Parts: sequence; structure tokens; C-alpha cells
Amino acid sequence: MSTQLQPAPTLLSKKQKKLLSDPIGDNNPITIQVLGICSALAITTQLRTSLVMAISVIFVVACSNVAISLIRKGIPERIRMIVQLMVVAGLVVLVDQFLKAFAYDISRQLSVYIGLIITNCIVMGRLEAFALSNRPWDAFLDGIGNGIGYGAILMVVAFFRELFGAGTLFGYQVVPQAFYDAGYRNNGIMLTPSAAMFLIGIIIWIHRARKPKLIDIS
Amino acid sequence: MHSNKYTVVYASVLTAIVGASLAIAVGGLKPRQERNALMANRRAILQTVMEVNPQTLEADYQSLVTERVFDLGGKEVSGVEAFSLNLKDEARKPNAQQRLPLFVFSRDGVKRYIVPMQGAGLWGPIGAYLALEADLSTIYGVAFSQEKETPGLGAEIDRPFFEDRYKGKKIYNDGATLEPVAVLRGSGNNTAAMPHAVDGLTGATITLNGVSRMFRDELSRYDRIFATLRQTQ
Repeated sequence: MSTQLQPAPTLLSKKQKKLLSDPIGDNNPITIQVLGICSALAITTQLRTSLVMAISVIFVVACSNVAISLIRKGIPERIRMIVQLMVVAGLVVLVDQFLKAFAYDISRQLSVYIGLIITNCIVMGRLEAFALSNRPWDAFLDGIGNGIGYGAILMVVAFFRELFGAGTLFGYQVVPQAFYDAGYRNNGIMLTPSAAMFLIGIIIWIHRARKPKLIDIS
Repeated sequence: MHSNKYTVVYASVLTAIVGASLAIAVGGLKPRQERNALMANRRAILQTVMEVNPQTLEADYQSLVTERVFDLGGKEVSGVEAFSLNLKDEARKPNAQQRLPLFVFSRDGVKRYIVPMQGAGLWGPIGAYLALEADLSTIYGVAFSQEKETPGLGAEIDRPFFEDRYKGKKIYNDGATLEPVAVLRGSGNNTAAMPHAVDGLTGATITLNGVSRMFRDELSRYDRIFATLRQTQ
């Protein structure tokens, strides 16, 4: 996955490649740091809403990382968090307004969860841990990487929930009618947040089982 | 450590920049958003009475639906846009000034009357478009909307399985007095022989009480309008 995402090698040093790839795998914000779980449970009933949510978070993390990194030397230490919050809130309101104008149905479905990106720990976490002490380009890569790491888990969870919960993928029917005629039923639990909890748990389990060094680091 | 003055100036300038850019963005996007909301309303109205094709939504609405506005006494009022009325604001006005929108759908000689309704659920506002048959009593279809009801419980009201329970129910009894549909407590009630009741949802009692109240309050305001329409038909 990470190889497709990287621009020409000359653009990125080895360290910068790691900034992109780490949060997608070994330092994933959801499965390793267990951040951003709230929205991951809430909006993953469908692939479409998850994709929009993922893109929104990628945009907000990357842009706020760059913005904070650009002004990092001028931010008064005492109001550091408030400044971060203001930049994040501004960006989130922008995303919310854009969705209302260009993807009205999806913005209705995501309802409060776009607004709640403001409180998504991934965003503030990256600002505090990375953007405040790194250059804008690095901060941008870090933001993109973490956003994708979050989004990738969202998509995986949504894939299973939509497939087994509604028999569709991206709204298209994939479970054939013959299955239903033969007695197959959509799984109602998949539509509830508890299913997402189980799925994320299973992902974390598989992830750590395959890479034992990840156990007990978080 | 930065000085107090620096901190205050920094905060003010940042606030001004963020505030100004948001104001520009919100102002620029507003016309599109309002159009989206209008189209969503029109779609919700049409969906209560027919299969909606998104491509022809606008044309269908223009040709099939007439927007009418009445006062509480049942007299038609001209010169008022149906969609410009805010139902909540209207309900607060003195009776003589209230204006109520009604959407009339007619195709191939079949008429349906669509009543917009607004009420309160458990966590936030709920709304509905109620489509009545030409007798102004039998429910042809209903489309609920909710924003903040509990997912899996109260939020189920906008699902087709719940909306379908209203089909064929009546809002007037045999004596032609208003008897709006009420939602029964709990689920599993057999309502086949009850024209003024629908089965409820376990765990969603407060939301559904809000639905019943909305039917009672909003339809009583339309009582005189229905009476006038029945006479003039």
C-alpha cells in the first residue's frame, strides 16, 4: 500500500518515507495508539460515509499540521493548545460547509461526526507530538500518513459492516438475491457500533499476532 | 516566555484571520447549501407519493406539485412562498397571522395532499411529510426525518419499515372529527383493526410520544383547512 502513495523517491528521504508509512502500519493511530475510536465506531456502517470521513480527516490532519508547523516558532507557549484548537476548528468548519454544499446527502448522514473531528485525538495528538517541533513538509507527510492510517482502518471495518450488515458495497448490491431466497439474512449486529468494536479488536489481534514486537508498546 | 501583550495581540490577530476566512467561505457556499436543502425537501415531499428519479426530480416537482398556503381559518393566502415559511416560527405567531403550507400533488386525476409537520423527539427536532389521499383522512404515505435520535432506537422512525405502518391509517373518525394516528407503547401490538394507531418501537417511547404529539398538534391546526378543501373539491 505504501509504495503507491509515495511520490518520486528524490522528493522523500528515508526518514520522510517512514513518516508516511509508519502510521499506516506499525504506529497506526487506531490499532496501536487507539485514538479516534469514537468516530471509527459510529460512521463505519457504510463505505461511502467512511470514505468521506477518511478524506475529511486526512485533509484536516495534514492542513492543521502544516499550519501549526508554519507558525510554530511564533505561538505563545501559554496559549499553545488554544491556538491549535482554533486552527483545527476552523478547518473542520470549512470541511463541514463544503460537504453541505457539495455532498449534501452524505453530510446529513455524517451529521455531527464531521464537527467532532475537532475532538478527534489523532488531530491534536499529531499537532502536539509532531507539528510543533518539525518543518512544514515533514509535518504534511506525517499528517497524510496518520490520516491514511486512520482512513484505512475505517475502510476495512466499513467493508465488513456494509457487506454483512446490508449486503452491499458502496451502496451496490453484492449479495445476490438467490442467497436471500435461500434463507440468508443480513446481520443486524453489523449495523450497531458494537460490531465495529469487535472488528477493530480482531484487526488489532491479527496485527499484533503477526508482529509480536508491537505487543505491549502502547 | 512571550510577553502578555504579545500573547493578546497574537490571539486577536489569529482570531481575526480564522474568523474572516470562515465568514468568506460560509458566505460563498450559502446559496449552494440552501439549494441543496430545498431540493432535499422537494425530494422528501415527492417520495411520500411516488418513486423519485433524481434526474427528473426538479421537473417532476414543478409539473406535479402545487404549493399552496392557507391561514388557520382555511382561507387560501396568495403571495407567500410555501418554503419560506418556518413552521416553528409560524406556530408562535398569533392565530390570525399564522400561515400554513400545503403541497398538492396531482397526476392523471389522482390527488394527494402533503402536510409538512414539525415536532420534538428525545434529543432534537423531528419532522415529517404526511401524504393524505383525496378524502383528506386516509394516509397514503409518510416520510419522517430526525437528526439526533438514538441510533437503533428513536432514529428508526425514518426507516421504511416504520413509515410503512402508517399506510392506510386514518386521521379522521367516522363522525368526521379529527383523531390523529397515535403510536402505541412497545412493539408487537396488533393494530390491524385500529385505524388510528400504529405499532411502536421498544426503547423509543419518548421519541414516539413526540411523533404522536406532532401528529395531534400539527393536524389540529390543519383541521379547518381540510374542512374547506373537502367542501370545494
